[in-house]
Amino acid sequence: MGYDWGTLRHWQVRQESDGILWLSLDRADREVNTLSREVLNELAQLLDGMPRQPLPGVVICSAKPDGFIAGADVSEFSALVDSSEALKLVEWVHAIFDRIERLPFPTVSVVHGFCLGGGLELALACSSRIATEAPETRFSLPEVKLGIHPGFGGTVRLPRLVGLLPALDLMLSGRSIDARQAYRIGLVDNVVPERQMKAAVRSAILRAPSRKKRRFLNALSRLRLVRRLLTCYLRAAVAKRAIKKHYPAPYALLDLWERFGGNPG
Amino acid sequence: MYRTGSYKTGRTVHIVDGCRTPFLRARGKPGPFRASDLAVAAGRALLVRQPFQPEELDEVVLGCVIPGPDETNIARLVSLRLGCGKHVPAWTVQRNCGSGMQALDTAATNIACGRSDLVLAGGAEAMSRAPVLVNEAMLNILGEWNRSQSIAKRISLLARLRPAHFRPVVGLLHGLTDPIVGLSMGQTAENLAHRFQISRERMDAYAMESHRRLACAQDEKRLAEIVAIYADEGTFFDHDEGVRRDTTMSALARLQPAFDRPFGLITAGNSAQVSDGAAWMILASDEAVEKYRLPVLGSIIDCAWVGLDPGQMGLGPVHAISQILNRQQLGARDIDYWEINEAFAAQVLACLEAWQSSEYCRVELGLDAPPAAIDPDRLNVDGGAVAIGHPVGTSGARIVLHLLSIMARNNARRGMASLCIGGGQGGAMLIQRFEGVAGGI
Repeated sequence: MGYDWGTLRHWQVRQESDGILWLSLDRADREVNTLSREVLNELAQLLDGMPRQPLPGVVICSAKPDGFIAGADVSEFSALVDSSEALKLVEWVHAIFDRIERLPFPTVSVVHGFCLGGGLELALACSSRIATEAPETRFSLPEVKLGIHPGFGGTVRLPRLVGLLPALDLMLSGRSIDARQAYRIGLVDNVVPERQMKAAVRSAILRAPSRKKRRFLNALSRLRLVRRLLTCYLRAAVAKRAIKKHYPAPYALLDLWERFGGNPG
Repeated sequence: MYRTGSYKTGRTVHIVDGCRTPFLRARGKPGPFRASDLAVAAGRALLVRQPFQPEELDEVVLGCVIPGPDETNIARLVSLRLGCGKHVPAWTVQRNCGSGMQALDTAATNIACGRSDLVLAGGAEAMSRAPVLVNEAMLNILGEWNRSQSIAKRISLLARLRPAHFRPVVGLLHGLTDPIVGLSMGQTAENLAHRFQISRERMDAYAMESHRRLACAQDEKRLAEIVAIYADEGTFFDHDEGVRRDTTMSALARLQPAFDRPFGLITAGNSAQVSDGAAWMILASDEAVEKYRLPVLGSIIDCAWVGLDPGQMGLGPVHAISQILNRQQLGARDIDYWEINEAFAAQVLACLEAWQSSEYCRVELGLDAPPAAIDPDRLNVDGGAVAIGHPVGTSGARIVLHLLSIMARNNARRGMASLCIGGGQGGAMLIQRFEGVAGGI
């Protein structure tokens, strides 16, 4: 292949004859793909090794038969001793995902089966997303159910992509949606049967999808006053389903959004 | 004299005559003939030239997938309209795209086992007239309407009507979708194209060739089995309308995918055409041949039906053909001419790939090595359903009928006709003729 990726345990890399580079995640030690430190380290390593001459495009997919990525490796969270360490982890992941977002060629994530939490946030960093139409394909950001909220950039990228209300709905409820619903809200650019996956990838790379301009409400929500009114309403809606004392995560998410909106700074 | 196969415990089954209507392209509205009209038109032309009376038939068997609402047991309607009389029994068989061949098999089996001596068998389909149904929500309203007594109740029923109530159920689309795997027939062909890496260019080139061959066959008057038919208003039809003499690769390449939008490869141009048509054959025992001094054009030697994954239904011919060759102790080289119904160009190409794939032959057919190749120049030599059309219940009879005429023309001995069947089946029929016997259909 001619590129030096270093040694990789969890990622398989292959370049097809059309030049498209396929990165498939296949966690060596687990049945299910999660974003462990090691996996992310290797992803950073892959980004370091990206060739200088432009590629037609990069595909991120899973080599596991039944799913894409189930999220961050939650077992590693318990090793975090304080919030500064958590912040360091999050900023490190942000830097990696930002590098993917800034790659000078199209990036496509191909999703079959579950695409949860950090896995979805990685997919969001790509320039387009393609889902297989299998009923097993599900998207969700279930962090609130663990008492946390999306921390790998989903809180910023998801509203930007699908609009404010669908994004908050997904993030606050933690519920999952199937491929068709994901297509309807604009989370994925195409839903195709497995047999048309390659054609869909080629098409996504050859003509990068036109980003739909996201609605009025997104623009409006740049105004602090609007955000304040909306969060009031949403806090009341959340309060009907979760008591703040026991479930602080959705409230924290709303606080975050009220302060910063869709502005990553 | 003949080695007889699955009919080997029985009597020899002779083919003595046959004919068909031209296949008429469906144009998005009901065509000029119902399925029974087509079957009667072809049957009348066929029976009038026989030395026996229609009443002397032992039975009439007709394959038909979607008869009209006024055509239940369409075979009996046709039989009576053909003047076979009230004493000749008639029945309809249905095995989706295999229906026409099933009718021949059924007739042949009854002759072989001694139940019949002389049978009229074939297929008929008017796909352009596939029923369009009222949906269930509307039927509920209609049911309540019929039961309601008061004007007020009827007004309230009318108020409940929404545009959705008027949405029709298109029978043809449902008929061409496999409800078990949830795939349309075209999507099963997409599966095969994906599995065997068949490119759009290959499919389109195959489709081009099918049109070229049909045009050539028409020019050289090689479709003598077609009888002209006449509509009520006096128009007549004497050739297959599907042929596109002016088609080009670039015209085919411009067509949008018809089933897997937007990335699929199967288009209307490289699929069988939706059409209307009917085909018949007359099958006879030795006794009937002798009694009426009927010409023996050939004999039906064997027939096989197989089941396979509904999502890969297009590979049915591979399995059915393999079963017959195995049972008859024949190799592919012993077959002089082949007909494999062109449900989709990709599907025929996939059959040829599977036939030559050592992995497929080992895993799916249990063969040590792939059999001899099927020579493309001996396969569908006068074009196939991509150009001619595929009235689903008729095609099985058409390919056997035309195969016999190709064999007669070339003084060949053995021919194999096969087709894939929606729902995951395949059918094949082996026919044979005496070398040196003059005459055909």
